[in-house]
Amino acid sequence: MNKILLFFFTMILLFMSACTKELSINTNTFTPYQGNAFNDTTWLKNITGISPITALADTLAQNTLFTDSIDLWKDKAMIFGDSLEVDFKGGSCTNNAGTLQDGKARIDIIRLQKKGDFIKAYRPNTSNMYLLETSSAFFIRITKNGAELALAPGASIKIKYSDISEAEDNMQVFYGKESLPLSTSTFDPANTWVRSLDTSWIKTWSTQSNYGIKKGYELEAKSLRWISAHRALDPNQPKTNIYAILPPNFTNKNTAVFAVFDHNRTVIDMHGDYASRSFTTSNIPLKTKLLLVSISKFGPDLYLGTRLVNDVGTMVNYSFTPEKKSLTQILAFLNSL
Amino acid sequence: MTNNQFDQFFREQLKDHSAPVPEGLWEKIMPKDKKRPTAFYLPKNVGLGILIASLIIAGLYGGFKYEQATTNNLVNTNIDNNRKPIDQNIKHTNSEGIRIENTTIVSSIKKETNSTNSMVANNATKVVENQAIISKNSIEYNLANKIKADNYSYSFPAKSQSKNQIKILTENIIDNKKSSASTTLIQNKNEKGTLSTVTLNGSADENYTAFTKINPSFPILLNTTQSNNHFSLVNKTLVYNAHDKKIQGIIICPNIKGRSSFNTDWGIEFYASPDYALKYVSNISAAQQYLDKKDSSEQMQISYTAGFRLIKPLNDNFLLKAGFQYSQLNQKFSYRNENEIKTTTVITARTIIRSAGDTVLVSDTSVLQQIGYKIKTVHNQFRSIDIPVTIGYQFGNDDLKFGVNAGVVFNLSSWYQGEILDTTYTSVPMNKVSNALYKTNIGMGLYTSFSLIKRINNNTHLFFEPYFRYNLSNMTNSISPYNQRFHIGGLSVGLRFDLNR
Repeated sequence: MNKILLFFFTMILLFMSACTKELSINTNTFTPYQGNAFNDTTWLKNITGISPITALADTLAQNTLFTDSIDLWKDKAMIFGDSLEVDFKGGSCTNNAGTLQDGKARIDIIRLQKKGDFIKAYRPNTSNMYLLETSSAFFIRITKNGAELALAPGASIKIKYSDISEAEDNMQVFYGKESLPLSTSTFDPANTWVRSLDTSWIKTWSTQSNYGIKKGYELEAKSLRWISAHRALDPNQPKTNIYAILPPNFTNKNTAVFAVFDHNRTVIDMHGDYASRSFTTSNIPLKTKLLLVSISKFGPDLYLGTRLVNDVGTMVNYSFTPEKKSLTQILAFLNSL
Repeated sequence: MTNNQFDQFFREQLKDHSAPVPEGLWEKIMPKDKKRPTAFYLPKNVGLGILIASLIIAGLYGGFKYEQATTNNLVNTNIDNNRKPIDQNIKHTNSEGIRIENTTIVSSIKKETNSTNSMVANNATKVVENQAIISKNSIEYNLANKIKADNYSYSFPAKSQSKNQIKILTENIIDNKKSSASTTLIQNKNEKGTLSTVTLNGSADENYTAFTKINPSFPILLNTTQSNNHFSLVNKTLVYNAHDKKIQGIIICPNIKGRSSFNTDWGIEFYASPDYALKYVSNISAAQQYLDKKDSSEQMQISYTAGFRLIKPLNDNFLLKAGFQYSQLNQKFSYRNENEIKTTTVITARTIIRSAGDTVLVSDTSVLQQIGYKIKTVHNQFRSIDIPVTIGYQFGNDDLKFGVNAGVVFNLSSWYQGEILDTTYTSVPMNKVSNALYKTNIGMGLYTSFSLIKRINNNTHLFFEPYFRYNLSNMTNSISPYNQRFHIGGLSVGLRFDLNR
């Protein structure tokens, strides 16, 4: 009898305790989305083909495009506002076969003035890892029937513009180097500025207007597409490498990091370093004050990260975490640079 | 000395005598009870009435048969405390009638139980001891019913014969003049016309000696024909001392039906039950999409109930039960939240090159973010304390009973814990403090069950009781956009204890 009672009540206690134990387990199971770019933390040794970074560059390519129509056989001075004048000389364009072209053509002009413009165009101010300081850059394209034309040998196109800062006397013409064939994306891993063979200083000008003295540059470009006025930063300053360290989600597949100099109109692209899983660049002068800017794209989502560096050299690795931003917010930020 | 003195002597001496029932006897007569129908049978009073009516009819019939047999009936009396069988002597008697009048045998008799009317026992079979007075009429009744018995014998009780004044009238006992040698002595006594009187005032042995003075050939040899016609008591032995040795100090009387050792006064049962609740939801003002989402996020799970009930039998079949029980309904709430960000702190170590030949190992703590979905699983618990009140009808035998029960369950208090999906499709907690949708008292429910009761021992029963509880009220209050209630099914397993012993 006692054994029966003991067994019975033991079973009840076990039954109830088992239930209590089972019931106490509350879970909150997280399952990452498969195939979501945000969850991809892998790095690429080399950026090739289509990747989120190309989509990012195309998304950010929001610079103002000036368009006009020209007669290929006639001279034409195209004035855009009060700060840009492009003088086209007739009979200076050839097709891919080198044949002079005539007839109507379309001319597209993009002007990069601010540091943010260079970021949006993904055209950092470097020439083979040497740092440059810019005083604007232009993208000029002439197309006829959809086919892009080139300047004939010896021909040139004159660009007269006023800058946003004092005109410097030691600016030189640089041309943008691009991948061949031309990249269909704004992002071009081969891009760099190459100094023109004509290493003379770009002419400056000044005129008196009702609003005061107006100064600017007048450069002659002997080729189309990317043309800029640059000068090298002081090569004698001690330099260092800097690293931008982002959370593991932000890889070289989806993130572009730029170092925006504070005192110079210089924007440096910090490329992804596979070994250290960070973004780096070299030849940064010590004591430089700069702003690290990261822009990332995960599907439709954009992330913006910044890190102000007041004194390069005290430390060279900078960690920061990007935040999710809208495209408008990012463009506004870039325009403010 | 009258003809009734012998009878009266035994009546007076043994009227207050009680013979205890030997231990284990009732278990031996179980097979008889098992013959009863397991379902419905006559109530106690009806059965008693039938028994009394049967006895009256049997008495009338016995009296009638007695009148028919008074002329030739034989009573084979063998007073032999050495248990001497008489069958051989009977075989040698012929058709001479031997008649003994006014012979009364008072004794404890072992009675066969395989015949309802039998008062003669076969001591080789299962027996019931009973204190009985066998009068001539009763013997005639037994004979008239042609009850056969083997090894019948009689012996005086040794102790009860002391200081007795017993007179046996043997007047006109024997009128058979053609007796065998063994009956000669009796015949001589008749021829003399003497009235032989013997006084028994000693022990059984002395009595026997006294008997043998007037009947030296005792045991008495009877006429075989008549004895065979009326006394089929050949080889029947009544062994008085067989149960006399088993007398105990207490008397355990069976009830009138002699059927149940189950205590019918009151009892208590403890039980526990695995349950499963059926959720019933009806819409009031909620969007159907919300109800679908809510329904898909909730899954009832095995629950349990435990409690006790006091049992008051109303009669052999009807039981009134009331108790106290605790119930816990378990529900698995599982809801998927999309676009959840999971952050994980990671520490990374990197080797960076500040300049040529200047390598630094940098440790960095950062946060890894992952986007995905979260499945939130919470085990909701709906608890309640109730008072079940039921009435049941049970039937069956002592070993196995079946029952049906019905009643109501009054809720004393209910409280809840867990999370539910609100109308904004977010999970919100529900507990004693923040519960806004559910009542704290869900009212009354209907209860029905079927029970199977197995006896473990005299006072303990194991029972299994599948049941269903139908709640009459919604557990949601008036501000809820939907009505919800639970109906519960389960299997109670418990022990029932008889508390009147």
